Amino acid sequence: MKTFELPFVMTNGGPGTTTQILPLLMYKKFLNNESSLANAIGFTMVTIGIIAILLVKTLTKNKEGSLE
Amino acid sequence: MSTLMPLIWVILSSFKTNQEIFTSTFSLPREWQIQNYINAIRLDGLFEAFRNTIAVSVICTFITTLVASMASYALMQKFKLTKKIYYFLIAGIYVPINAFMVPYFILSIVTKTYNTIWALIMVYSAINLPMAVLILKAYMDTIPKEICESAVVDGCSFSKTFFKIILPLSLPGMSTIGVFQFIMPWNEFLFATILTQDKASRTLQVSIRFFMGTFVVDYASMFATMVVCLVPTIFAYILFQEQVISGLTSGALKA
Repeated sequence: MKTFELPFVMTNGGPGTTTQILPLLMYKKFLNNESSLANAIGFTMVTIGIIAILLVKTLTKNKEGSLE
Repeated sequence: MSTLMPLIWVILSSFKTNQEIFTSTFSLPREWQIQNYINAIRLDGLFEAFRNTIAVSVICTFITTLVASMASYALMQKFKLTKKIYYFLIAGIYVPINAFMVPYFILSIVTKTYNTIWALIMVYSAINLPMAVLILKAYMDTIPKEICESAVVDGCSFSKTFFKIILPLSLPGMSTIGVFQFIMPWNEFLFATILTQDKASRTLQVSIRFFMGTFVVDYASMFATMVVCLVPTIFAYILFQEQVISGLTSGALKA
């Protein structure tokens, strides 16, 4: 979710929308002046990130290498 | 090896002409063209971009190191909410910074710093802070508390203990995070594109991108500019590699 530069420089979304990723989609909407939609995409990314952290935390509880 | 090959390819291609890059991609250049480097150095606004990038990196490193060391010193005193505040600060590492395009953009307009380098400085310091707190707190936990107590007995106030005793003791940790925080604004492209517009406030990454026109992409001069921008980074790494490696391995020894 943090990878923006590589797809942006190499394919810019790909032929059509085949290599589109979330940050790239957000950047394109932002440039088209649809910043409210871009903001919503960002909120979705943050929510996915929080869910991922909570998943990792509960799955590795009381095991080796858990998040302190 | 897979990171070295593209670098060597870029350096070799920067000595070729545009046609030669496409026809004989992986061979040594037939004639070593210097014209690309002349184009790169004569690029309009390269010097300003260079100055802006160095200014942003240095100021960000300074601000983040100071704030992170103060935060980890405060977290060293074990009060009631220490763990919760620590987790709250650390959680910032996992947040995808791409999600904050719109809020940072609106913030930079509201604080009237839109086209200046101060917008970039504020954004990069905020992004780097959680990682710095993580590393510095782990380092400061190895400082025995008796030193602080003896300083208090000798009559130091809270802030004097920090500036006179803790800061000199944690210089290796601060140099470790300083190196990483110097590299991050140098490489950053997304926020540099969004938050700057004029030639006076661009960074290096954005000005490299301007070699790609709408119809013609001047790859050879772009590669030459990239090599010119790489040289300071490699130079700084050669100067500071001892501290980077010792900082990384000292953290590993503790764990």
